[in-house]
Amino acid sequence: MSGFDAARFDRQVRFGPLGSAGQQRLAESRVLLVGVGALGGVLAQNLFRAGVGQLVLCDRDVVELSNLPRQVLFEDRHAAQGAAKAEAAAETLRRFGGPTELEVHSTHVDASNLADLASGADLLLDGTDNLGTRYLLNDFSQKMGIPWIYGGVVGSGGLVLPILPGKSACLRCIFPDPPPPGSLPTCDSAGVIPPAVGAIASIQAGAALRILSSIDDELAAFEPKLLQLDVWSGTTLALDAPRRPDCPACGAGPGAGTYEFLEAPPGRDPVVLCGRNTVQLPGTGRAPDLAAIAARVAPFAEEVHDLGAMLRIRVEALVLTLFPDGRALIEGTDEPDRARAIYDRYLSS
Amino acid sequence: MQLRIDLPGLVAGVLGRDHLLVEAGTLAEALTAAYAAEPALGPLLEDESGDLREHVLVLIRTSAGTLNSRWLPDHERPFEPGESLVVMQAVSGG
Repeated sequence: MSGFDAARFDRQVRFGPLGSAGQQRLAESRVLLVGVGALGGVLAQNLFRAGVGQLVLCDRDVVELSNLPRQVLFEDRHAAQGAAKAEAAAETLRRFGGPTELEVHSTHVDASNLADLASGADLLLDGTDNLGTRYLLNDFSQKMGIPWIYGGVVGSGGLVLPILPGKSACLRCIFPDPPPPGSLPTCDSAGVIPPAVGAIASIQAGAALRILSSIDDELAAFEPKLLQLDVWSGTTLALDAPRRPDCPACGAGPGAGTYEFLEAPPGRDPVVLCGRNTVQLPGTGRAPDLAAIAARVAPFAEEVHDLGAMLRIRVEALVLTLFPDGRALIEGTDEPDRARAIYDRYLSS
Repeated sequence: MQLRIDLPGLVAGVLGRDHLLVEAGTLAEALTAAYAAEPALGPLLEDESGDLREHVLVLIRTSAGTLNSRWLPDHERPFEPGESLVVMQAVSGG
């Protein structure tokens, strides 16, 4: 008996390489999507509409006006509210209808929570905006044997690399170590155009459907390549990506399999979000009393918005967003010391 | 032989051109010639010790496919007619 709505998915089931059996496997699959902004929004939309069984949405950020041209799941009102991206994405996806179950986490993904978030996942999808999280995902993928798909976009193009542990090159086979922070242009510093986002994320999504819908024999024929694509010049380049025997993550040489990004203790220091003029302060592990904080700061704040699961406060020309896990974003500064001082002044108990 | 080196969009934006033509017989010669032609290119691709930066790939397009220079034992492999170079770099945006 079919576990999916045959009428709803008729057209994609007619696509031979997917078929009913592949659609059934999609319906039974669970995917962790880290980041639901630009790439992540397109990925989420594709997988949700395609009928993936369960989609776990994670994002640490809030919606801003400058997100709207390329982050397809958000609307003006989300930016006006400063809504949490994961929650706003889920709201939009649910309006589409369909059988996919959503699990939503407005959280910063790091080594302390990745195993829980990825529990039961058949695939990890990269919608992030930083290499640190990608090297973490790569380590976790190799350790647990779960495929993941790297995608990066900036300007008019980007890269895609599907990674099948034990079979194809991992991120560290290609780029053994991340460059120092700030070495690479980001969408905030170098800009990005929406078609580049759509193109890169769509290639990621295509690989995702193939991996999720394939049985082992079918996946054996899949030979992932590192793909470079530019929508402005209309050029593509595909690089064969064999594994490197001396890869520090997936190789067989001395020191391989140590998963240094996964095993490093999560940072407790403030994180400056590159190009965002925002500082993230880590959670305390204790749920803050949002109602009490809202009442306490109301006499001093220019605005206080209780968004249910989170609190948004405008004060001293800054915007403070406090999440249920105690994590806070301080928008309007890139100085960690000032952010910490503001947090202590208004948000700490 | 004359060799074409295609540059990624962001490097092209810095240099004001998306490719170089150099005379070179090996990868080592090609990189030396490219840095001489575009002095700003060297610091973008290599660190202070002369190693390719972690996020940079220099790829050789051959008739049999694309070779990653990181996977070659050295930069002395002679070019075949028709081959070219492509520079690629990791992308962090998303």
